[in-house]
Formats: sequence, C-alpha cells, structure tokens
Amino acid sequence: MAFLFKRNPKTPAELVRAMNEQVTKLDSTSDKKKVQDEVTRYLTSVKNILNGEETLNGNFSESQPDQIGQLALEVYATDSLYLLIQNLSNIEFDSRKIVTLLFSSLLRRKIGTRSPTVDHLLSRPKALICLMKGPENPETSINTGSMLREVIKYEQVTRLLLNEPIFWKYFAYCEYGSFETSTEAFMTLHDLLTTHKKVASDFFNTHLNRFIENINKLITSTNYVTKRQSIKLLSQLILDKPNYNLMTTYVNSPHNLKLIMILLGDKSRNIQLESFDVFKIFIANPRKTKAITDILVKNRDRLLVFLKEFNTDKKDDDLFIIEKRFVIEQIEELPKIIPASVNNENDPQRSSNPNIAAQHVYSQTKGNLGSDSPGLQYRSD
Amino acid sequence: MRTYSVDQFQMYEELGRGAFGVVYRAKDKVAGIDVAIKQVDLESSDEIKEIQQEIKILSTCNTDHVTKYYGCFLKGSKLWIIMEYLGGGSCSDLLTAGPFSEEVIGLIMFQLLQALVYLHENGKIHRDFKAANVLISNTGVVKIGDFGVATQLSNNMSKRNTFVGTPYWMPPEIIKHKEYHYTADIWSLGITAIEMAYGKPPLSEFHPFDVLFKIADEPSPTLGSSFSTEFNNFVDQCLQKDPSRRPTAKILLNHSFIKKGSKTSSKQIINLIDKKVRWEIETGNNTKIYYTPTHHSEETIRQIVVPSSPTKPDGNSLQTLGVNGETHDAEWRLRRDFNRILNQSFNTVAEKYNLSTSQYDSLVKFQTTLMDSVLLSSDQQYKDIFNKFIKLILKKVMKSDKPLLKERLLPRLYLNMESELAEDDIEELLFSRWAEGMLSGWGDLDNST
Repeated sequence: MAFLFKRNPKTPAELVRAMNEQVTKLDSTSDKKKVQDEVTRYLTSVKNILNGEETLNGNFSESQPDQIGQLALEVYATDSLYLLIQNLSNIEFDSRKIVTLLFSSLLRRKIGTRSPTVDHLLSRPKALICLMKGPENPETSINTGSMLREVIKYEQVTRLLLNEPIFWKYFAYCEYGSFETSTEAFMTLHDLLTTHKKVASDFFNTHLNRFIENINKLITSTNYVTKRQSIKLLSQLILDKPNYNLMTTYVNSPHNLKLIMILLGDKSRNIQLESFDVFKIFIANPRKTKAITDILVKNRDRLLVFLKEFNTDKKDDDLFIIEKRFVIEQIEELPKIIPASVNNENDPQRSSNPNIAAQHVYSQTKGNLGSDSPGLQYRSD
Repeated sequence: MRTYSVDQFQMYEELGRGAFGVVYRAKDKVAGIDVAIKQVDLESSDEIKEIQQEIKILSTCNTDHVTKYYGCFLKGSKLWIIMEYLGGGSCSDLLTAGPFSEEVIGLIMFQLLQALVYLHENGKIHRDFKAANVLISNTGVVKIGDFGVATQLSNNMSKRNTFVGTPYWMPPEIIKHKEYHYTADIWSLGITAIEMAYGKPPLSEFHPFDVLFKIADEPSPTLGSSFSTEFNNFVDQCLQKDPSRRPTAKILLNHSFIKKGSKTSSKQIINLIDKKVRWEIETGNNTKIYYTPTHHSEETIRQIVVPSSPTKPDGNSLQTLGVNGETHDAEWRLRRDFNRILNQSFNTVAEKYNLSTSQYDSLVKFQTTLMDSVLLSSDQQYKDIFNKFIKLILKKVMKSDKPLLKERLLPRLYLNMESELAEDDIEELLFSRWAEGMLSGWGDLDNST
C-alpha cells in the first residue's frame, strides 16, 4: 500500500516531494534511465496541474488555482526550483521544457501586488546563480537562458544579479562555445543591461571603467556575431538617457574613438552602420577633448571621402541621411591640415602645428550635448 | 556537445535555395553520414534575432517526424546550420512526377500528424505547412523539414503579412489578421492533402493576390467525388473556416482515413521516389550546382555551376533503388552517368530539331527502355542479356560491309576505324569513342544551360 501511495501522489505537495526525491537521485543513480522516467512522469503531472489536463475531445480541463497554489508553496518550501535547475542536464530532453514551464508559470503568479516566486528566489539566490552559470552547460543553455530572461524582468532580480561577481563572466560567455550558447549568453547580457534603465544606470555609475573595458573587448572580437551585436548594444546603451555618465566617459576617450573608427571601416556593412551610431556621438559632442579633436583633424580628409561614399544606397532612411549630413558638416568645419609640401616654406609653424587652429574653432562651439544638438536625433530604441 | 567546424565537412551539390540561404548536401566526415547544410549569410539580414529564434525552435525539437537539427557554427558572417539529410527530397519535388495515391497520402498525413502533435504539445506552430516542406528519407520516412523552402528559416508573421511567397496554404484567420492558434497548421495540412492528390493546391490557377481574397471570402475548397468518402471527410474536417471547429492533430490521428493510411506500406513512398527518378530521366535537365570540394583549405571553397559530374554522384534519389554498400556506390554512379548521357543527348536532339509531340514521345519511350534495360531493371539476368544484345547489334553493324547502314547508326568517327583490331578491343573503343563523340557535340550546350 505504501508503495502504491508513493507511486501515485495524491496532492500537489506529495507530488513535489516525490519528484524532488527522484531528482536528487539523478546524479548518483546506477539506473539513470529509470530515474529519468520517474522524473518525467512527475513533471508531466506538474504540467497537467499547470495547464489543465487534455480531455479526450481535445479540450483542456480548467486548471485549478488552489492546486497551483499548493504546488507553489511546496516548491518554495523544498527549494524544488533549485534542485530542478541544478540537475537540468540530467533530466530528459523534452521534460526540461516542463521545468521551464513550471518556472515561468510560478513567476507569473501574483498575490496582490507581490510575486511570491520572486520573493522566494531573492531570499535564496542560489537558484538564480545556478541559472547564471547556464552557459557553462551547453546542453541546457537554451533552457536556463530563457528562464533567466523571464526572471530578469523583475527589477530586484536584475539589481541583485548585476552585483554578483558571476555577471562579469557574461562577457566571456558571449564568445564561448557554440553559436547557440554564445548568442544565448549575449541575449541575457543584453537584457540585464537594458531592461531596467535605473538599475543599469546605477550599475554604470559604480562600474564604469570595468564595463567599458569589457564591452571594448567584445566589439573587437573576431567573431562576427559578437562584434555586430555588441556594437549595437553599446550604441543603444550610450543613447539611453539615464546612462549620460557612460556616454560622456565613452566619447571622451581617444582610445575608444580609434576603436570605433576601425569598426567604421569594417568590411561588414552592418558593423559599419552600427558603429556609425556610436561614431556620430563623438562628432556631436560639443565639448570634445583636445585628444579627440586631434584624431578627427588628422583624419579629416579621409573621413570626408569615406563618409561621402558611406551607404549612399540608404536613400529611404531619412534619419540616417540627416545624421550623415550632420556628421559630414561637422567634420568639414574642422580645421584643415595643409601638407608641408604645398605650404609656404616660410611659415613652418603653421604647417607643423595645425591643432592650434583646431582648438580655436572648438573652444567657440560650446553647447549642451543631448537631443538639442542641431541636426542630430537619437533613435529611441 | 560536439563543436562543429568547416573542415569536418565535404560539400556536395546544392539541394535548394531561397531568399535566406542555400542548402547543400555534405558529408560529415566525423560522424560518417550525409547531412544537409544550410548556409545563411547573416550580413544580408537586418536582424540576427530571427535566425536565433528559428534555431532555438529546431534545437528544442526531438522527434522522428521533424528534420533533426545537429548544430551550427559561424564562418565569417555565414551561419552554417547542420541538419539531417533526407535523400528522397521534398513532396513537392516528388509531385512533379504526378499526384500521389490516396493510400500514400494517408500514410504521409499519418506521419505529419504525429509531428504536429509533438510540435503543438511543445507550443510550436509551424505556420508554413506545404508539400515543399514535407521531406522524405531514403527509407520512406516522412518528416517536416525546415529547409525545403529556404525562406522558411526566417518566416515569421510580419513576413507573411507582407505576402511574400505563395499564400495558397494560408488559413483564412491568418489572411484576415485574426488571432490564430495551432489549428492554423491543420488548415494548411488539409490544403497539403489536396495538393498531394492533385499535384497542386486549390486555386493555383489564380494570382496569389486574388487567392487571398478567395480563401477569406469563398467557401472552403473540397476534395472531389473521385476520392473516397473518408478522404473527403478528412479534408473537410481540416478545412473548416472557423478555426475553433477544426479538430486538433491528436484527434485527427484517430480519423478513419488516417487509421487506414497508417497501414499503408512505406514501400509505396519509396516507389514515389523511384517514379520521380524515372520522370527525371524522361524529361532531362539535371544540372546541379556543386561546391568545389574542401580538399586544400577552407579558403578555396568556391561556388561554381557545373552540370552533374560523374565523380560527384547526386544522392537525391537513385540510391533508393535497393542496392547497398560498395556496389551501391558504383551502381549509383553508373546510373548517374548514363542518365546524364541520355539526358544530354536528348536535349541536344530536342534543341536541334523542333520535335513534334509524337517524335518527343517516341524518343522518351526509347530512352526509358534503354535506362530500364541497362540499369534500372530488377531482373539482373535481363540486364545482362540486354547489354549483350545491344553490344552485339552495334558490333554487327560496325563489322558489316553495309556503309549505308553504318552511316545511319554509327557516329562518323567509326566509319574509318581499323578493322584488324581484336573484337573485344573494338568493342571497348567503340564505346569510349562513341561517348567522346557525343561529348564533343555538346560543348556548346553545356555552356548555355
């Protein structure tokens, strides 16, 4: 009798306990297949509680909110989510999707304005940390990634995760392993930095230099996808209003300008276009430092030649055309270096030191950097 | 998990192409199996996300009736997606040789419904169901493929709403931009059933734009009285305009038409592949696009267009004719080569002379007889006899002192041939020279096709 009882749990709480028991066995059992099948069986029962059961005529019976409530309570009490996530790669392929379903269904559950699952995860963050390590397990990185991005939607969770040391590993994960795993990791990184503007801006204020150092590594990656996605992320972050600090710091560094100019000349048209979105900020900055102006002046003619030919076929993108015209105008206004050979030899001072003129022009064009810059509009998304 | 890279694959011919990439057959040198590789140039799409999404869908499917996804890797800006290779080709390829019988359609639908049950249980709607996306393995297993039409990978709703592609399979609710559900696939399945019964989907005589209005406004298409009541009922069930009244895939599995179809032998599907091969032989035109092999370094990979070449056999269909192992390969190459010679000769003649229907038919008939007798017939003894027979005829004509007869039948090359040569040598020379003579005759043709 006890045996039968064990095999067919009567209540959601019993079901969760029975499932946990099997899940903990997964790693050590000698008959993995059998334990896997047991776990699958219990997870299927969990799915039926969450979605309702499919009846013979193909309709679904209503799911019972009180059943789900009982299930949730037991999941919290026994740290079941952590167990399942930790053992995910030992769970059978199709059943992993039920774990994802359980995770996201519980997340969406609300009591008043509270999200009990978020509270539970925040009070015991080891499940979250385990999810963050997802890219290290390529077989399940798609499952862990999608769970993680579900929970990142909650501001407190993002705040917690951005301050965990493991967050910095994501810059490495983006270049690590298969296409699936690395792009999955990138999506998570992207969401962590863009979903909650205030949280991200606080993060940038405290970790600015370390972030710039890391994102610069990504935009100079040899991997086409990493390069293309990270330069796009960078331009998006720089143009997010709350990240003003990131923007001014980034566009005042001559090192960064050099990186972006190299990318502007990348053989990929998409990478060129994405880096133009960062380059234009350097140009639009009315308070350029001398170091930045120097680089631009030195490359004035080359930049003008390049920009005139730059994506001339994008005729239907009005915003791009306006921005490009603005950038060209700004560069044209830079002082011109007159080559020594053409220049009057009696005036060596001028030819060898063109930056005096540059400084002069730029000290006169002060203004506020932002949306009121003439001719330049920021994309909002 | 295995890490894939270019040097693990030997590229063969092109299988298909679409707006988003090209699909090649390739040999996976590590696993020792044939695979289909789709190359998508990420540089040509504005969003990488769409492709990521599709790979995610593929990689989370693990079922017999959905094309298996093995993995992918980046080479520059090109994403190589490695998938199961299905030698039988797509159902729309097979349909070019004629419509399918009711029993076969039943069996195909049975297998497709199993795939749909899996997809729908896993929260996936295929949304692009049609014969072109139904693929057949060499052993006659039916699978939903995601590369039959290469646009498939990135096919999402926004794309469909711009009416790119052919809307014949679209359910009314998608055309009307209404909310849709899993049952959208059931409608398309019904249309695909009709497509298989007639060789083309309903309304195919109309322009795609008109079709959209017709699907939305007119009564649902029906199958027709020449088919069984069960089949008609199955199609009617699928093609209910109100999506909520359409049965689920799970329920349709119990439909009497499907029950019956499930008992059909998969041999019948293999027969379809054979039929297609014969049809190709009859009509000619087997120009394939090959990848130059990856012998030296990956940098040397270039895409070139050549007619099917004897050293790189096309695995499309001939391999299914029941030969195995070593002999399989040799036999297969032989068929390919002979097929090529027959087709090219036929094309040369057809191009030179404006053939009348009866002339055309007679030539096709003769060519079929030749192919059947030399290589395809399952009666080994007959094949031997026939080979002897044709050789004997040629020999006798050649050795005869009837110049007029010689002139009629033999290429000019042989007319002055030394008659002292030993008989077997003559035979050998005859065949090789004859082949050469034919080849030199088609130089121009090769370039023009």
